[in-house]
Amino acid sequence: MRKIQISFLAFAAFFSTGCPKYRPSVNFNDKGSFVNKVNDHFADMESKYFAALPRDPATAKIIRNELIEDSLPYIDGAYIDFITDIQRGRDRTNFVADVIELGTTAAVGITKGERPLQILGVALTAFRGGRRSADLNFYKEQSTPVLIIKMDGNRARVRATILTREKSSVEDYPMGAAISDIVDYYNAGTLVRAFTELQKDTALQTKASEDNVLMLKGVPITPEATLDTRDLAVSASDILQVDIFTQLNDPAEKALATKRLQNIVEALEKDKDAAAALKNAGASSKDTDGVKLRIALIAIRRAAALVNNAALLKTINRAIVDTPIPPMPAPSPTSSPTPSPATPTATPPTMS
Amino acid sequence: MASIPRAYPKNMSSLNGLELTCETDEADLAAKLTSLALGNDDGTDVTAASYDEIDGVKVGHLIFEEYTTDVDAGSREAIHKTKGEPLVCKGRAYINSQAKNVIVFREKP
Repeated sequence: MRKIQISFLAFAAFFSTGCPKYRPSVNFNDKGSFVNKVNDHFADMESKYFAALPRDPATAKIIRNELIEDSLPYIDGAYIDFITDIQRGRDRTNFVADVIELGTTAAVGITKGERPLQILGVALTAFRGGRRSADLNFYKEQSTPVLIIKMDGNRARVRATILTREKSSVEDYPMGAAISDIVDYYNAGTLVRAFTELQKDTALQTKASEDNVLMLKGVPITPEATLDTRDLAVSASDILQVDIFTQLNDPAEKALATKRLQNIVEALEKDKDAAAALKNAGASSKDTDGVKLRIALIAIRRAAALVNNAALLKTINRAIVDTPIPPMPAPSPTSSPTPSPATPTATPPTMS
Repeated sequence: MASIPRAYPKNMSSLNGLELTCETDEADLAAKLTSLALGNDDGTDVTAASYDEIDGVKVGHLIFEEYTTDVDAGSREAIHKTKGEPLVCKGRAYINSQAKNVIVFREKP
């Protein structure tokens, strides 16, 4: 029992030294101060707790919970004084009510159980009386309200944990753990903890940003493709984007490529939907501009894909892939006389 | 070149299914994949993809892989670079209704 008291005193002393602006103020010389009040209360209740523990765990549990609930108001009082101090330099009018209003908002967002909300509501009702919505000057300085919101949120979260654990038996939630939670409740109302929690929030927001969803509007959802669909689409694409593209840029093969495109378009004109798409694109099998025909075919494929018209896409791709390559035009006969037998005959290269 | 947005269903059966779908779109749209992200299309969770139009280019096949961390993604990028398979994009996608980290490379032609 003494160890617990000493531990708590050491902990409180550690967090009470230094700049008083970082934590609720504690005066060790004042017999009626926060630490002394808590300490005296702990000593009394712990004696009763350990006396009851071996013979009556249920009574010990009640004493434990009373110790917690009776000590928290001291911490709350110190906290209120603390936030009053840190606000004093900025605004002296109705700030407590503003802070409490902010704190309640934060707590509602964090504690979801009915019981914590109820208790917070009761605790804060007294402060709400003087609240005036016209106290907008409070918000001129944003950093302090943000920190107070964070501290209130931290405290509400620890409070909710305590309320939950109070339902546990003395075996599951011994006195040491209860005091640890009380100390945690105190620490939750410090600026150091507020800064730490804000850093955590920033990290979480960064993670959330990474998961940010891209908002689309009116984009049709494309169903999963099959292997056959992919193979047909890629084959048709290779013909249009590689074979015919290359041929159209080669003067020697441009006519052949144009004829092939005319044949593809002619095949498509037999299909009602494809014919309509070609007409919209201003393309006809009678066109003699191979570049224009190729661009038209790319355009109608893209348009069909954009609206997920799988049937039309299949028709177009099938026509591109299945239309045979036209035969090379026979070379025009030369007017030269019978070749000299001395002239060597050109033979294709053979693989050795 | 214009950018083309596409939306794929959240219940895509597998990473391979997404790969086939993107390859099909690259072929039919005459475009190359540039990004993958989690998206919301009129209230429906989707995988949002973006493509840039291209012309006269054989895009080839894609390689889809799931990665765990940025370090893992960096390792995969280095491995594929040595094989001559450039990075296409790194993003997020829904596979079987689960958000996954996906990294995409272009197969060496």
